[in-house]
Amino acid sequence: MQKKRIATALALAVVVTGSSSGFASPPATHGLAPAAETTASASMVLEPAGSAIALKKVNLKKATTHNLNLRAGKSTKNKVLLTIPKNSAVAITETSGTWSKTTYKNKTGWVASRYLKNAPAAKKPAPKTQVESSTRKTTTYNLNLRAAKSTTNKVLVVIPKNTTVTVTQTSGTWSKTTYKNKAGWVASRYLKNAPAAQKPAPKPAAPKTAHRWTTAKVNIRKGAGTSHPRLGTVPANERVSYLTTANGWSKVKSSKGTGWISNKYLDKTGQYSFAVYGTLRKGQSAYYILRGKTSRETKTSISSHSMYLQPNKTWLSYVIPSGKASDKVVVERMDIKPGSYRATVANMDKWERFNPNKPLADQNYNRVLVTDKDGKKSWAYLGSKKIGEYLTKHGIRVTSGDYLKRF
Amino acid sequence: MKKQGKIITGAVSGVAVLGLAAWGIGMAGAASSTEWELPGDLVAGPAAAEVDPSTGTEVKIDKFDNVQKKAGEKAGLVDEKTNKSYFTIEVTNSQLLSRCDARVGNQSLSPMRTKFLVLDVEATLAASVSDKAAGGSKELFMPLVAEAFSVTTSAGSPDRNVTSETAWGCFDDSVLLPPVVNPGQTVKGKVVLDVDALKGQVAYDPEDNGGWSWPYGG
Repeated sequence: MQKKRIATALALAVVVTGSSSGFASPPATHGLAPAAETTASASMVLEPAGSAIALKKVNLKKATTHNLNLRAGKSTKNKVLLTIPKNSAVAITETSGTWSKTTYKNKTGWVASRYLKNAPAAKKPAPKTQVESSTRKTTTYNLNLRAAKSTTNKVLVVIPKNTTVTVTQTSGTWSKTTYKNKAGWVASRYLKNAPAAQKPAPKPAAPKTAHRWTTAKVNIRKGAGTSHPRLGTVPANERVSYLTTANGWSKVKSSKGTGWISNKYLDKTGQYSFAVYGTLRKGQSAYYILRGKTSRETKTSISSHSMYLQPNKTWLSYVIPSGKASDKVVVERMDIKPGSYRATVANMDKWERFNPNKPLADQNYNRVLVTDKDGKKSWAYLGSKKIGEYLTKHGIRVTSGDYLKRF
Repeated sequence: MKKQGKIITGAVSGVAVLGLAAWGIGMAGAASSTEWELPGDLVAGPAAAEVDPSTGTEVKIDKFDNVQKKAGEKAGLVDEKTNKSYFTIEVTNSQLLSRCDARVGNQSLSPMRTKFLVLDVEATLAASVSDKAAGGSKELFMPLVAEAFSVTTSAGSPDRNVTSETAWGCFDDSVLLPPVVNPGQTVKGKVVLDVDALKGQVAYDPEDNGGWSWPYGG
């Protein structure tokens, strides 16, 4: 009874915590600063007490017209901080009378405005040279390509009528082009503009290759049925490219060639890792099932799930979806070696008494895919609908979500 | 409705569902579904019948409100009007083992306490139970997991802590009792408990408010 009360209190605490979680809205005043402009973008005018001269905040790009003193104040009586060389670009942030405030080499001070000029506008990058369609021409006759721009020059090759060529240069009535690796000149009057080049059709998106995994050492056949000749035997756990299905068989591309395998021996789900949270975690009593079978073991967590224990039976943990993102369960993501995968899945299912062919609600645990905080999908054994609810009724939620930190 | 050998209540049919709930029929509704609660007038424990209506034998109740059954004797819930059982459960055999074959791997497992208490259990839930209870048949079930069992030592001490990691790992699923029995089903198989007491009563008491018990050991 006391534990139930504690559990209730913990649940309430979670609710309170959950209600305070959320994303803060950006402040309404937040925004991007406008791009630098060459004109003043005055936004505020300060009128210092006792001063008849307006201080004006600005954002100006200027260049010095002389070597120019940067002074601590807006008077020639003020100390010279440094001298800004002629033709230096400076940013003016404030003006006051005949003085402009700027920063140069990390020193902020005032310069005489009359020795400033507007900075030249930044040059736009030159547009990339493009081959215009007008340089592409089509021959209107069989046309001599000559070594030079005169009929007296040697004919290098005859360009057939209706051939499209690229003119790289023109000179008077002649156009320079290249045909069959020979560069020369043709009479421009026998050329006409070529029709605009058609853009190459975009390559059709490669169809996403679907895959299947063989669940056992299995025959691959020439046709969809056992009456068809055998092409070979595909090993268990091989990933094959799926092509099509007919009559309970799938045409696949495998290490033994392209052929047909019975769907009974193909799995769509692939080799997901296992997210384990209880006695299957490293060092726990059931870890022996995974020992030597993993290629990587990563501690992570899954959200929107809660872990429960049975009072006085703290070995028995089960996880059920909670629907609250703030609920987390610590898991170890066990990447299984490909060669051990199917056997390990079978052993894990056996251990958890899970049979995918039986009604899910009638089992202790259901193997379902969960996504951990790293975005990886893994199998996890979650409490089934009926038993999960039955046990939860008397269960204690592990608020840390960590089986190793249970009490 | 009454428990075999023990009248639960002379309740009108309208509270039949609650009566069932009191005796362990859970409802696997969504979290938002109506939570089944034991009505206050049943909390103190139901009155007992003097005899088991199915056998005519005298009914004995222990101090934990468990109807005491002999080894191999069937227990259950009976509709007073029709005298038909809604639910029956029977421990047909019990065995104390020092080791068991692991379900996974070529190894044997040892109990975390003193012995594995291996029960052979058979249970039936009548299809008609869904007619009497609110909710569809898919929502009604009786839990048969090890957590629904407890033992009482010969000294009379109750012990609900009778499961363990190794007990969970015993035997192939094909010989184990399914976790639930649904309306219209009869199931049987082994339940493996992990106990200290080598002799006593083992109870099926899924809601910890009174059930049935059978002797084991010694």
